[in-house]
Amino acid sequence: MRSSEDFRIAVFVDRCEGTLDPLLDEEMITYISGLPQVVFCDQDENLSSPQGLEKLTSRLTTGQADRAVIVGGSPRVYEQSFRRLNLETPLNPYMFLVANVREQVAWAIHDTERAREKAKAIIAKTIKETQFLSPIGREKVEIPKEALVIGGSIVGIRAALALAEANIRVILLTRAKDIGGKAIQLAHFYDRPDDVSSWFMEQVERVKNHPKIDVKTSAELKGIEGYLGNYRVTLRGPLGKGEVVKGSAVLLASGYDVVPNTEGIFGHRCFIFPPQMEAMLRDGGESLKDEKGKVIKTVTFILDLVNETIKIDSANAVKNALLLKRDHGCMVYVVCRDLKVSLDGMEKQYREAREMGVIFIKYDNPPRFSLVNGQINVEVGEVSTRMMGEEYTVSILSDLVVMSEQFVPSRDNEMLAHLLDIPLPQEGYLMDDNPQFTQVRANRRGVFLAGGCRYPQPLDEALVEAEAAASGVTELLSRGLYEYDLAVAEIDPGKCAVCLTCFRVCPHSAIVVEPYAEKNIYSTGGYEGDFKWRAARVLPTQCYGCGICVSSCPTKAITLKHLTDAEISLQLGA
Amino acid sequence: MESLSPRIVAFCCDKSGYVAADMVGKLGMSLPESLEVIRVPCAGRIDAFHMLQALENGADGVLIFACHEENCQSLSGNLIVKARMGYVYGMMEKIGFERERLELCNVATNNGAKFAEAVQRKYDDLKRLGPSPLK
Repeated sequence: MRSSEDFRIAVFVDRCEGTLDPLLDEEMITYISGLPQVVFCDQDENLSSPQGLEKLTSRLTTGQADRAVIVGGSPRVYEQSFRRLNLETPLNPYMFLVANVREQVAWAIHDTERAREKAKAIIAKTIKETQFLSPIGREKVEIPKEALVIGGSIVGIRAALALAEANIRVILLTRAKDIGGKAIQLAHFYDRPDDVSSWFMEQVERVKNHPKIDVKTSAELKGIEGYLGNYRVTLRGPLGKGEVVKGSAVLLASGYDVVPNTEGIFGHRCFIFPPQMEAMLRDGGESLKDEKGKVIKTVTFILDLVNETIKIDSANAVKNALLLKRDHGCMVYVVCRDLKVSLDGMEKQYREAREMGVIFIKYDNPPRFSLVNGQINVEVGEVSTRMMGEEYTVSILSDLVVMSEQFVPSRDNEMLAHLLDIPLPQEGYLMDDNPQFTQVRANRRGVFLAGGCRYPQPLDEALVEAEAAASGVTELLSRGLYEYDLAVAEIDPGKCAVCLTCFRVCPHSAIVVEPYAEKNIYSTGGYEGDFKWRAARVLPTQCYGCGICVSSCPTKAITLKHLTDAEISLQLGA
Repeated sequence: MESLSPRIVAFCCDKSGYVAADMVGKLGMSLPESLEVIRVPCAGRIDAFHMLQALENGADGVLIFACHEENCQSLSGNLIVKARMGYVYGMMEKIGFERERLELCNVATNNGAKFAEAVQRKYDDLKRLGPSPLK
């Protein structure tokens, strides 16, 4: 640490348009100006405004001060304005500190005299803290405009197309023999009469013929390594020879699996699953016929026995119920626990279905099925009658019962989570970084998630998600340059004991262990020449600067550049 | 007069606790002036050493404001600090600090009122508990 005598601190007082006047009076300004190392103390009515910041910048160009303290509102306000204006300050942005005397002092301590005392203490401490500041630079790396899309479902196809349109080279990897997925099973969109298959075929053709998209089918993943700008995927090849494909970012669109239940009575030909229903609607003519040529008059949809929290089945059932009723004159029952109508336009469809005479029955106890004269008798306790004292059982004799397939996480998820080192919660679907803020991003920079690997969702929502993920990738890659602050953790390789604690706790997989250290705590000397010790290293492009590794490191080899241990200790009054 | 105004150190996660602390003022609620807010990028940044150092330097109580569980921006920062606190509790017991002097509080960005309440509750608790044994 340098002697604190050499510092020249500029103080800018933000009056926040007069709201801080009672606190920051003449006496306070005199107090601030009188603090050691303060070269000048400026005042402004609104410092976070563009004019205020410009004034601040011009005042600093004289070079009188080498670090600055802003006295005013919350540091978050100033950080946002600085970032928004992209202001070139003569001082490094990390040479600023903010003394928050507004939100937590002026507004929260109602006695003015006490607030003034508190403000003085905070300002004095902040000015003392400036001794630990050091400039933190920005770095740029070139990243090629290439992305890897893993999964050849409609989500992957849509994402690949969106990326290719944004002038990014795409390698689309799929394990299957051909691109496709579950969307091809659908006959119609839920909210419009268009035919899915022709639309789908068009998308597939576009992907296959797009000059920027390279489709690799039958590709089994063996390993994924790397970081933003340089992800390398090794494929399982014939004779153990693996091909390596590269990309700057990875978009996972690997989908989910379905498990149909055909045990016991459910194996009867009258029980079918949504894909068969869709196929019947696509291929069937005026009147639907079953295998034996008998005309189907009554269809019952059974929902919520499985997938109770997923809305795909509800959407498909209502859509198909409408079609069956309108085009084929069938009697349609939908037996459900709760119909999910949160999809866009779904409520209207539900209403339409009810008006047309589709009967919705809600149950609490699972329905019972029995075989009566080659038809299925569905017995279900109607919930809405229960208010009258007793529950009535409804029997529906139906020609066709549409069951739901159970949606389960893809078995690939485990492998992908392991290979990419991203968390896999208990349900088995891949997890996004934060469910509120960063929905399609995985916790690792440059890894995006879309579609069924996150959660099974209806086609339209999955497509929106594909586009969101693609735009996330585009945002990162479109400039071909990734610029980042070096406000990250840094490891002193000489102190690293390679205990891998940081490697394990890092939530963003930003730490690698590489042989690059000249010496480490075990070294006794005698190794000359090119020999390098292994030590942990933080990849600055991947680091989010959370500091978890810093406090976890048993040898204290890691420092967080923008908040050192010494800085915290000083704030604690050491 | 020391015992009348217990000194509380509040470590605030920049993603939730600090925003909540700012909100206290916006809501017009009040904070005791003996509260010291320390802004950290994530609750996981707080070392066991810092918790003890706060107590060593005369704090009567230490509060840690982290994000709600399963909602941490760094996935597990709030759980890591929770685990670390378990270790610190053990140490505090040996040294002779009461367990109440260190507490974790999960808040979201819009929990200004909860923040103020948590601080006030701790303030009252510490007042009842008396000054830190170090004083």
